[in-house]
Amino acid sequence: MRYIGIFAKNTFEDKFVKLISITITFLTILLTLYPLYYTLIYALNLPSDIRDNGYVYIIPRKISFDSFKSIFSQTRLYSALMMSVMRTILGTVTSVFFTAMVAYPLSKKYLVFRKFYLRFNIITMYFSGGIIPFYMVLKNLNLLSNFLVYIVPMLFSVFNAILFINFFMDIPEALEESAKIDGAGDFYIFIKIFIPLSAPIIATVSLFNGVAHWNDFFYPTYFIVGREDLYTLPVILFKIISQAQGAEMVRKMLGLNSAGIEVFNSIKYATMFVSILPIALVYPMLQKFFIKGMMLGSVKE
Amino acid sequence: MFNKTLKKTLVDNGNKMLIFKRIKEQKQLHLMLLPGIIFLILFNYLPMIGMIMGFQDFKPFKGFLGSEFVGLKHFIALGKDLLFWRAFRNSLVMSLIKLVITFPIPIFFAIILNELRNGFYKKIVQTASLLPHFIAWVVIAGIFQIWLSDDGLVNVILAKMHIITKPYAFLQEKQSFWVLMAIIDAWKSTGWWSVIYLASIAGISIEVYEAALIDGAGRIKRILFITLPYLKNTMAIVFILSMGGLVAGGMNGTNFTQSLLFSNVMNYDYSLVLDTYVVRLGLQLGRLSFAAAVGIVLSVVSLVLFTGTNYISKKINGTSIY
Repeated sequence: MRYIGIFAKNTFEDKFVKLISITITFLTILLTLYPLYYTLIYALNLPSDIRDNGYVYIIPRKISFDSFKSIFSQTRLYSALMMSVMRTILGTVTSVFFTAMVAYPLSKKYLVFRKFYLRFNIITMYFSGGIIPFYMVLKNLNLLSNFLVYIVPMLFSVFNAILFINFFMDIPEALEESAKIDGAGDFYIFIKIFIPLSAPIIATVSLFNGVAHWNDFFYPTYFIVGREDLYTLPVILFKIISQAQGAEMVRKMLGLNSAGIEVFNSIKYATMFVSILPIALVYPMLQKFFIKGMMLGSVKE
Repeated sequence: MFNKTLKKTLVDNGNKMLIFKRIKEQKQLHLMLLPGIIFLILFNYLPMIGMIMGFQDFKPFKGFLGSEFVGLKHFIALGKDLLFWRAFRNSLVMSLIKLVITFPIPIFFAIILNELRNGFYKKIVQTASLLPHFIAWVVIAGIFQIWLSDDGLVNVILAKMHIITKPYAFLQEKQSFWVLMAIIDAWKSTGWWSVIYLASIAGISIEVYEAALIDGAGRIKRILFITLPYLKNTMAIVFILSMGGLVAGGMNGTNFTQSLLFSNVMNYDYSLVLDTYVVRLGLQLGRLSFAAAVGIVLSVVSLVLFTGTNYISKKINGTSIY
């Protein structure tokens, strides 16, 4: 806390509050990281060892990479992984550019009809037509069972546009004016002046967008029918999870023993770990940008 | 004074007369905006218009214009539909439990975090607490399903500690299912919402704390009488958003996702929520009009709850979203 350094008195109360906050935050670290870490240790441990000697808790007992290997050898899992990567990269790049481009004019106070345009955007945040009419629109646009269903409906987000608008409005007008005197057009100014100055907000929105693309299982589950080559990693996980549930129930009803479930769980955990890893690597690097971006946004609110 | 008024009138008249000229000058800006407008019309406004299919016997090959209007037929059928009411109850109860659990925890957590000295440890805490927000629901559901199963980690540890003697079916009992959904929701979202509260705390001027210190207020008093009251407005805004999502699952709107991922044959009666019902009816059974009618009820109830809470908050607290 900011005032600690200046007024540190270290009374009993100070120590007490400090102790409580450190204990609780430490427990939070354990609680949040352990389930994610657990996917790794289970996936790395030999499944038959878990069947014989019980669960692993802190570190793997007998290391085996079979589960990870099977992700890359099973064509279905591998193609889903590639599809996820492709979708995330293509989707994020197009969506960030599209959203920034639409947000740019909205950040200009002198834009004719600006108020109307802003309302037109904001209404969509509070009211939606629901999933069925949305599905009909996708159907009529021939987007169902098409790779473009991953990209096109996610091109624009009002929430991200607002982040861009707030950021663009803080960039000094003088830059724009001097470029205009030199005869530059608006699109040119946007590309050559505003985009290079917007690294922090581009990082933030890319993170939000990339995560949304990487994690989404709804679109491939309901908007992709009969095209398994278009499946992404999350939808495969979704299928595995729901199948496992069914399998487990059948197994219990029939009173079968649990042999083989460890192998299955191990592959599941390995797939989950592969899905967690890129986020766990990228997000901490971008964290400082987006916390600043969020703070800026909420201060303006 | 006179000059100023004159100038303003002139500029105003000029604005009106020159509006087309100004649009022409801003041609590029409007062209950049156009794709966004088209996007919103296609993916947001067309579906809103598409809601009329809830009042039709919609046939895909006949389209919106060709399908027959049947008035409130589907809504009347809804009122008699047992599954609809069950989904409605589940949505509402799950959201209420989530509200009670997920609303206060981030406030508490932000205050605790704020009591830590700025430094490496604080950064680690924040990174760790935020990480679950970015992890896919599918993964989280996968982990917790394995953990909470009969021979899963949780039951094994509880048995080792002699708290239970036989495995407890966490995801199949009504009470534990609802509460667990709320706990998992809180686990995922606490870090995220605490960032918003921390941003507000950062806005408190240091003089206020100094003055309190000079008056002899200790840490706990400063938290209770400065930090907490200062967060009132942020809390109000988060609360309004949560009320808007009272059928969708509180401030995170997670009922739908959780219901899709955690439901099974055994807990179907209390895991079915309105959105899952819509998807099952519409996309899996092809009863498009009936499903659209459920969707309309969902949208309208959310909008009423949202505007209602916003209005009340404006009256009592002076805080509102618009």
